[in-house]
Amino acid sequence: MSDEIDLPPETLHLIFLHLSPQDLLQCACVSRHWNGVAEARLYSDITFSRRKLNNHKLVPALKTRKHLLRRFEIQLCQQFTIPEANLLDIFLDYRPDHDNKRNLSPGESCRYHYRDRNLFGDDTKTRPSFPMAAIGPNRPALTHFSVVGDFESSWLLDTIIYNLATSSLTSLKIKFSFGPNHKTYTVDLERILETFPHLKDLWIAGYKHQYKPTGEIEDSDPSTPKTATTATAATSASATTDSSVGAGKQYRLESFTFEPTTLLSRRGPNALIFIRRLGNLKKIGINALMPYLSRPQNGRPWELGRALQQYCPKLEYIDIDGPVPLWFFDLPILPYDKIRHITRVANESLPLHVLKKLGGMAQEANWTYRMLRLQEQELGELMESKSAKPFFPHLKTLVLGGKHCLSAQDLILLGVHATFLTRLEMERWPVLDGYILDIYDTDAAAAAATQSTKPLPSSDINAAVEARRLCKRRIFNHWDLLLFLQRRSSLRHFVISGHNIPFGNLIVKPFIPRIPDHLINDDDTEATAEAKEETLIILPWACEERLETLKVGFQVSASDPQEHGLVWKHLGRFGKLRSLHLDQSNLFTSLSYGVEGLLEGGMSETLEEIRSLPGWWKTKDCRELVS
Amino acid sequence: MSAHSQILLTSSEGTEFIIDRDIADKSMLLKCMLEDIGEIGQAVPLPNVSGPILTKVIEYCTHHRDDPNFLSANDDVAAEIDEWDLEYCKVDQGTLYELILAANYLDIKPLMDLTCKTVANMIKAKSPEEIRKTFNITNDFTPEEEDQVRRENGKGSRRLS
Repeated sequence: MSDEIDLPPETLHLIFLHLSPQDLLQCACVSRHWNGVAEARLYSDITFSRRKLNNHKLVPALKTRKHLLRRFEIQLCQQFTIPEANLLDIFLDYRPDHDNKRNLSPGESCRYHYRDRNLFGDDTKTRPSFPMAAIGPNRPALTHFSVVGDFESSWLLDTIIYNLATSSLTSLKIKFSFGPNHKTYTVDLERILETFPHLKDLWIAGYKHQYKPTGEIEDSDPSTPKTATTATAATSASATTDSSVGAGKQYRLESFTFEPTTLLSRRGPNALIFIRRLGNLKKIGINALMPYLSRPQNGRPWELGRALQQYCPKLEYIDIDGPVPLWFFDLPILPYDKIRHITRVANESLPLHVLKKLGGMAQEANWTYRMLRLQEQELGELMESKSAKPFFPHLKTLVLGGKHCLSAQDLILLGVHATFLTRLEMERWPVLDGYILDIYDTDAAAAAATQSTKPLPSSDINAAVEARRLCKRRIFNHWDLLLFLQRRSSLRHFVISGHNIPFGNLIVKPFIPRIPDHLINDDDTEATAEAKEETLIILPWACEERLETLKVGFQVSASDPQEHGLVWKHLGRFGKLRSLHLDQSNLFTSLSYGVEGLLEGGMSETLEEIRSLPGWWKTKDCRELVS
Repeated sequence: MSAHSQILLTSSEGTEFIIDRDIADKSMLLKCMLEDIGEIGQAVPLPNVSGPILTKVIEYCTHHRDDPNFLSANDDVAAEIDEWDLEYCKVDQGTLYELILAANYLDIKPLMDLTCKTVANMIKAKSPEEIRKTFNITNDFTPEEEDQVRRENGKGSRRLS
């Protein structure tokens, strides 16, 4: 090596990617060129937390290198606290005047880096009386900032954020946690969004915080045209929106996770007004579980659902924990004659001779039959509504946590129309119909439905139909779930926990015509049983080709090996399945010969694990079971 | 377009190399270029790569010709370098540097990863003085600067997590 080649910084950076912090520290001492590259990597991403206590030792070096900082994370907890003054000292050239007597020299200008309006509270009383030095040229240009913990005062948190985070900030995560102070923060969302115009990811969580009530939006730029979505979405007059207020400018925020509890319980139309400026939102996470566990009626969660539906059409990822209703489609309001027809269908009963044969079961069978017809009719009508326009046309992922309230109608329509949906995760929980309907049954839609169904005569079955029409949305059952699975081919991950699909429902389609046919035509009952065996086919799911993760329980009878075999074979058809979770299903007990069924169905090489609540098999184990 | 078509390359000294199309495709630069303008039958000039280095690069691409995981193989930073690659990298440090630059220019990610990893292994567990010696780097810090850099970086945070 005769002559000396200096690698360009970007190449050197690629080499340094393979080095540990210890080695990087050595590299930083090699030469100026190496120093620049090594330090940029060493100090760009800093975490202060209990686990990384050693980072404390970086503090002296960090003071002169804070301009290198891009990602900064603080995790405070009771065992690990950094006094705010220290933080300010590190980053802000902050010099508290301990004696309160320090006089500024004539030339020294003093800038107070706090604003009149705070981001996290308005406790002006806690403002310290000391001045802070102006921030030097090496002010950090953070892009990611994350804070977990309890600060002594919201003023200090404000000051840190204002001073650390310049307008370059793209990601802000804040979690307020238990602390010695138990104070409540007041989050001023609009202020945050205005202060950091490039913010794309905002995450606010924690135990004690509330949101500052938003006033009317001052239309700073009235020339900004309304987006097309706000104009078209104004079809259903909703109580959340006051159409006289302009949409204003749109923020760039793409991902927003928050706990809207205090917003939802507040009365008044302006609580969620900021959502109309979040037209670029692609991902939303909502944790609304806490206050609604007992009485959802106290809040107004539907306003959030309505606002999202109206103003955030770009949403791709929706993650909701708690009873916040979402409107995915507008259900068609049927004309009167159509409703008459449905009523007539629902009143039909099984032929008399069939009922005779059924004997004591007749009543029940008849009711089931009617209900199934009714559901079929309803489905047909949902399927027919080809014009149904999804409110979130780009929806890719839907995650619904505890106490969600996805309706059957939306589920079925998602099956028909949600072309891009690849992931659906939900928790199924026992719930009363009325509870869900109370949440959905609001505003104009319900009123319109009432009007169109008014002239119906009243009888038991009519009342049921009428109720269905009126409330528009009901909670889904296995049947709806299967209809969804049989149609939604884009699905790659499907998870539903706490829910078993009864075996009888897996093969439900041939059930309706078969019972009467067989009872009428076949004199030989044994032949019927044989025919039954032959005709038992589990209906294919549309997503068989693509599904990678499946979590669902199957409720099969413990003593019928045929049922087990059929379900296993059905599962074997999922060509790309990686993970199979059987939840609480008793199917797992037959795993030993189930694997044969899987193989027979064409179990793919991709399968990595089979889980169930009592056990967990890697596929290697499964194959060993066979051999 | 047949897979066996051949591409003519010219190194910085003007030496001509004829390689198969599928080998040229390992380089994202050549691949994109050939896809965009098609094969025009003329030599592709590579003014940033010298003949010996180009030979070396072609050797690498030929060895990994039928490697199905060519693009994803080195994603795992901690992965071990396989034997052939290890042997391949046993060159003097000047050549290694030039290989990095060539891999960067031609945009061959696996080769880039391999060479960077090799250099990184040469740095590991060495003191600054040893590093300078290995890579023939002059220390351009003033004594005061070096002292400060050492104090701030070298000592206090050695056990940085």
